[in-house]
Amino acid sequence: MNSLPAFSCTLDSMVESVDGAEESVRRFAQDAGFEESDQYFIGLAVREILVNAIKHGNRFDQSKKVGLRLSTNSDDLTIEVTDQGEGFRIESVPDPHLPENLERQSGRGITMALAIMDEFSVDRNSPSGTHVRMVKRLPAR
Amino acid sequence: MPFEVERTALDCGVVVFALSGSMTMGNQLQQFEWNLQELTKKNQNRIVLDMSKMSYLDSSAIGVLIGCHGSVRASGGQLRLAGVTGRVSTVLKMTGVDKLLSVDPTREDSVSALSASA
Repeated sequence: MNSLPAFSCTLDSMVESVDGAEESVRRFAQDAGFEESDQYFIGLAVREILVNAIKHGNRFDQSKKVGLRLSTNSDDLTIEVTDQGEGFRIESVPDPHLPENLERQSGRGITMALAIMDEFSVDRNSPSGTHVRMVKRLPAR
Repeated sequence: MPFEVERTALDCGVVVFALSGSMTMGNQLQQFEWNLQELTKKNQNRIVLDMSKMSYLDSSAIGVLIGCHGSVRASGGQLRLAGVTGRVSTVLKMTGVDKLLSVDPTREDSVSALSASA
């Protein structure tokens, strides 16, 4: 399929921003050819990373913003989320499947995104702040 | 769909919370956690969460489920999940919660298990 025009938006650092952004992601995924189940889980992955950016990255600071960019090429859907926080290391995210972490109440959002997406990377030193890049392969046609 | 909670106290002493809609970060989620913890303080600590009408949950909701499980267990009670299917089940497995919480096929199964443990 031809690539879709990229979509980008800037979100305030408040939880209320997330629902609309997730809906935009689902629609974009639909337009990119993903089935409804994939749209659901891609939306969930992006929700988790947006909440992480707002809560742990920007710490609800209203002077800071979260960026969201969606794009496609012939093979992939790419989702990029930026915040103005200090970032995190994927290696430091606790594995909730380990017995010692089963009762931890936090830290599962990134685990979800890692499970749902085909690629996941974090750049803590991008010019705009922390940059999370997630890739989902487009369905075969 | 909004997150909705319907609470029923059964004669056997088990309390059933029927959850529906999208369980995500926000005031309604906090209110649910608070209500359940208040119940636990009153020793009403045999609790079923019927999730058969839930369509969505995020990691904040997962955190609340784990927190409620801890509170109920600390009071000597037990919390069980019922009717977890489809995508909600996938999310629980994805995050390892299915290894921590007791999950039953139906609300009746959960109530039976808690009645037997009384």
